[in-house]
Amino acid sequence: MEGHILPNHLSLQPPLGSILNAFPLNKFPTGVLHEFVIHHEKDVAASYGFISSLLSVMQQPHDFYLWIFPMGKSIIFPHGLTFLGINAHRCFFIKVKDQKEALWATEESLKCSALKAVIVHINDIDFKSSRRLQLTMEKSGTSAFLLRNQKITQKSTASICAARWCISSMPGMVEDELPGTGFPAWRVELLRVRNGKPGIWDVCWKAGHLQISEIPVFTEKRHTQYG
Amino acid sequence: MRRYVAIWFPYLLTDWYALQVPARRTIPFALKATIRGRMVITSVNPKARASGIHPGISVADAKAIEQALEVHDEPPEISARLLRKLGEWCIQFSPVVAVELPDMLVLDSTGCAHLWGGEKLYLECIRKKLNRRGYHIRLTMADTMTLAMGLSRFDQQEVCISNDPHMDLLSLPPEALQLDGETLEKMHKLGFRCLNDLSTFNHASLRARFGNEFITKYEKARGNCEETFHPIVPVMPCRATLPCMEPVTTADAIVHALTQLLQTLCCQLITEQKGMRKCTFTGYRTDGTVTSISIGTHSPTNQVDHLLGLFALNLNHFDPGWGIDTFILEVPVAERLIPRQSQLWKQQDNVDKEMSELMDRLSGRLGEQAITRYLPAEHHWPERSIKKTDLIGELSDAQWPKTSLRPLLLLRTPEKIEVSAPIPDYPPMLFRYKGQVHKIVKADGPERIEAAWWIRDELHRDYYKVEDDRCCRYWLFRAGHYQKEQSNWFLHGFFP
Repeated sequence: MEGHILPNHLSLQPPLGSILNAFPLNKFPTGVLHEFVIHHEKDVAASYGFISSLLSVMQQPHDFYLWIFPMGKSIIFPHGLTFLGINAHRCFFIKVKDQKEALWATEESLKCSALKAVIVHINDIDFKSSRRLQLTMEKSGTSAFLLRNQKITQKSTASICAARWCISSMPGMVEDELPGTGFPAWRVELLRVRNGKPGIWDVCWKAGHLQISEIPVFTEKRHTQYG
Repeated sequence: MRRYVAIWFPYLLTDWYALQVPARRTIPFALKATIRGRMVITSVNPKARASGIHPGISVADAKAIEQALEVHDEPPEISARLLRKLGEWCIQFSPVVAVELPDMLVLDSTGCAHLWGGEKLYLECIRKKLNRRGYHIRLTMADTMTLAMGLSRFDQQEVCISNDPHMDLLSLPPEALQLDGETLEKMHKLGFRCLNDLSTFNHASLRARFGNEFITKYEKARGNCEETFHPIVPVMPCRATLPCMEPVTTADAIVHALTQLLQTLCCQLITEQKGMRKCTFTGYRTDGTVTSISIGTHSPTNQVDHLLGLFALNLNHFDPGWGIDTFILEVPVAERLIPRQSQLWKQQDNVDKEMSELMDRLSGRLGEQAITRYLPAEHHWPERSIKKTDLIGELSDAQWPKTSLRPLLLLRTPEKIEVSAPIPDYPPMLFRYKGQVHKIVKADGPERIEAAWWIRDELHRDYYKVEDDRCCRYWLFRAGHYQKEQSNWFLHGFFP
């Protein structure tokens, strides 16, 4: 029964407002696989942003994070992480050449219970690999946040993730019609959640907190057929 | 009867310099150092000595005597290091070698000479080998250390064997006993030019006049008093060897050999309170070729299981060929491993250990370059505002500046973009990146970042954080001042 870890009841829940209601027992699941679907390259920064802010509100002073991303033109800039509240010097960045290396490194790092979370950007993952990761995580309790590029096909929906998200950018939140780009904001869609109910929220990162407002699902036309 | 060999290097440092540039053999050459604010010659080569320059005179005087003199600064502590290296090399002649600063080596060669066929051949062999290495030397063999050292310095022969210690000692000047300057001056004033002049006096009156030290050294030279000898202890490499009865080829056998060697070495390291940072596993094949694999760790460790796991990652590169008959495990780099206080810090200690073991595994397979951790650097220029650091440790002192104006994804090299309708002090209306047109809706900036003054060829950058009509946020900059259509615009990062 992979992905069915009941969260520790005593643990303090992160201030995620109505997002928590989507999960079983109203607890944010840790030690499981969270999948983030990337439809377009521009979603990568938004997804990284949302994951960082999520980790930031759950952060303990001695947490370590590990980022695994393909060798490419861009790097994750630690100053940007700092703005989202992450202790950037406690992050390790790993560049990998291909999918095989990425999966190996992810599995190895998920064995390490000293890590709070592993964030990995991958092209695609199949059912077998995701199950391997899930089994590894169950022993260590480390969470995995997986960004996957490929558009979801019928085959890959069978992945073992506990939650599947889709993050897209929203216009920056501007107060009092001040000039400038304002606070970063995202449309967060929880497409699929195990034993929970999916939903859509507008989330804004402001002064070290996440401001969350729920969008009623029936008024919103869903983009994807796999809910 | 003990026998000592003293080797005096009269031109130790200049010979060493001449080894690096052979041309220095043929020109007058000297080394200098600043002593009490004066530039003083400290050592000279034979050519310079022939023209009348000797250690102790000032550089200006030396230059006046010999205009072609080449003078270099003497590196500090060089002679001690050099003599130690030569001493370690001299262990081939005698197992017990001591360094006598500033320019001597003493070998305790009791019972060694017969292996070379006698004392004469023994000394001849040492002389030839050291001359071939490029050093001028004077060699003496005598019954006591002090006598051997004195003779090598004050006897004019290049190789000298003392068979009559009493007569040889009496022929030496008092300087040969390495006395302090004051005593020597007193002796010269009184007209004592060699030890023979002093031998007629009884010890009591000599002690009253010249102090106890003179008598001690004199008795040491005669062999009536114990001499102190500090032999060089060469650093023994940490290694273990496993010979096999039959050549082995199977993976199981190799793993078994590796485990056994690791257990041996780790036991040794644990007793020495050390942990390995690097380790090499070598197999000698039956056909005379060698195969080897190496691992490195991020913090010293002596855990067999962890090291075995690291080796297992690239054990498939360990090709046994036709069979391996000898395995060697070597630890070229070991560091002190202090066992932490286990009770109080148990949790934190475990975390650090787990992290460093993970880093070892990852860098073992992906390469050292693949993993990075950053600390803030005090630079405004974005590419320089972070610095790579050790993977483990250095955690507490990081203070990251908090600003919303830095992107989450940074392009390694800024990419040129096409813009239209630029206005001074404002971002452009639109820009084209990867063939797609982005219409700018909102913007923050400009933030001008200048290159550091020592980087001349970089233009300053005016950065803007912009948001396009698809709600994506970008970090753009204009290089240099506004020049209407000629301005160069670049994309440098993506905001969340």
